[in-house]
Amino acid sequence: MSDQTLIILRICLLALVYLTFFRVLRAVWVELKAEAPRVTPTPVAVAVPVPAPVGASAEVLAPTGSASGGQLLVVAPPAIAGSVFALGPETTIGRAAGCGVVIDDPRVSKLHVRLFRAADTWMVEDLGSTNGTILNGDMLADAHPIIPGNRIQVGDVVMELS
Amino acid sequence: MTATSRRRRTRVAPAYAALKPRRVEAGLVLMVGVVIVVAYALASFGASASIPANLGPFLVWMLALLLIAHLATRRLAPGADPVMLPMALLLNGLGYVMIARLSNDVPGGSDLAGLQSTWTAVGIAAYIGTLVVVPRVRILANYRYLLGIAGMALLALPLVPTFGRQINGARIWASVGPINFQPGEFAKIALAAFFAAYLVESRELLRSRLELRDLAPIGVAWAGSLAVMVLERDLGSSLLFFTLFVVVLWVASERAMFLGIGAVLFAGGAVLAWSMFTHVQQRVDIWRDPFASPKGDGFQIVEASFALADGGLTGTGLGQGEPDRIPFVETDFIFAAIGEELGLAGSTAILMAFLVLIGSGLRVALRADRPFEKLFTVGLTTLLGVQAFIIMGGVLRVVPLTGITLPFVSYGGSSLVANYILLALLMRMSHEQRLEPVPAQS
Repeated sequence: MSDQTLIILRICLLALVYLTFFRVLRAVWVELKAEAPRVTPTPVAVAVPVPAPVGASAEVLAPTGSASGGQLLVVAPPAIAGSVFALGPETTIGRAAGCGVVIDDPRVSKLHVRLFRAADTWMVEDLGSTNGTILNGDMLADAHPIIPGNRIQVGDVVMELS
Repeated sequence: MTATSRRRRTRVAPAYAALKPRRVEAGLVLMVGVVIVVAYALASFGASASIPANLGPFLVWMLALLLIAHLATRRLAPGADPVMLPMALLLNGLGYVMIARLSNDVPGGSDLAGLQSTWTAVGIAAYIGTLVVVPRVRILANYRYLLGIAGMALLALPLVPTFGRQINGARIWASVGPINFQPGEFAKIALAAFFAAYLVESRELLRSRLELRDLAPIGVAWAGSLAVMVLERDLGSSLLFFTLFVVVLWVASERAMFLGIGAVLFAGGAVLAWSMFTHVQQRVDIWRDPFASPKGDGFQIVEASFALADGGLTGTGLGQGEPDRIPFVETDFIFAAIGEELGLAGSTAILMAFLVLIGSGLRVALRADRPFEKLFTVGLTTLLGVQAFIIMGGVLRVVPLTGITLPFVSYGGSSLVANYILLALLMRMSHEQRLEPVPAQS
């Protein structure tokens, strides 16, 4: 086989390799574009603000959730105690506007913790928050079942499942 | 959020469905297969101007391996990133072609190609096995102490008299029964899991305030790395483990200061090692001026430099160069062989494949919600990137040479199998993320 043919074949091989990379980059590009809208938080559809108490350290906003059984009752701080949030199949709690329960407190992470329905029980799971979530006095490590009467604390806000 | 949108979410489900990552992967795997077959045929043309006699069986065997890896991913991790597996297969394939081509010329290398193809099959089996055994990456956190002890035991295994073997100056081999392997390759994955789980527990402390005792872990890691270097004479692994720990510590604590402390400790360790050990001094001298003794100590690096220079832009052509002049070309110096026969274009392709792998790995880490998974994926990606950098940098004389394998490319069973396990863990993590929509949206 002549040298020229070999050179042409070698260039073809390298072209093929770079064509592969071109397709890889295109795949990554398509994926990044598809991902982009996921980053923006969806606004809460209906938000009913709890009457904001003067001087409260935390301001809590609640959406009207569907009646799927669970409720969160705010126990502390006293300024907002007694507020009730209906829980959906999955309710997120955090500082970001897109959360199901918004707690505007610098010690609360944007996406702090979530409550979700698994089989017949409610589960609570910390979403990698900076300051952690306390369940019945203990720091929450992993997803944990939660039953009515249990209390979770996020920042200063203590809530009871009912 | 309203009830209707919630119901729609549960029905549409897997978030990856619209992206069809496996269809993309199938296309890429096919292209990688074509590249490998063309390269294999070309290497034979170049060396002996004839179509390789075993092209048929090679074609079937290799395409079967690629297909099995792809189909297993389709079944076991359908939502995973579509580009990581093809990139690993491309690196493995190009490495195999080079090893097969070298096996004709390297003295005593006639078995290399057969062994490497067996190791590739074992590696892909390990990849599939890992996907089966690890349904969720976070379960590894439950075995953190077991993994930590296993990792350290594996690291120390070559030092145990009955198991340890010293080959080519470094005491990094162990032999159990008939099998020789490098336990360090597997230790790195176990230790990445251990470091991640350990630092998740202590990250609160690391973030709040810094006391002297918070520096204890980094000190222990430093001492451990030094011990590996002193006792096993393995500079590459020592640097790899220390970098792994510092990077994971940095990400866990979110304090850039630890990078600084790590750099200072590294510099201290390097100076200490340089002043105490002649083999370290020798490596540094070769790095600074390999042409001081081109036929002696500097021979390997000098030959590698000549090989790279000979390659030029597009290389001498597969099978037409003389990479077999470089000692250990099939393991540590395979990058120089690719640089000679495929030139700058070919070696850049290897670099790009690593960049894509590392980029995808870091993206998986960025998207991880839970701290253990984030730290673990950062650790795995760091291992891959730093190991590739250490050896490619060594070959190119960017850093002093330390013998370590180029992941997926170099000849070597331990390295291939361990890196396929590492890849499987990244793929598993990537798949988990696609299954669960990011909570921000719910």
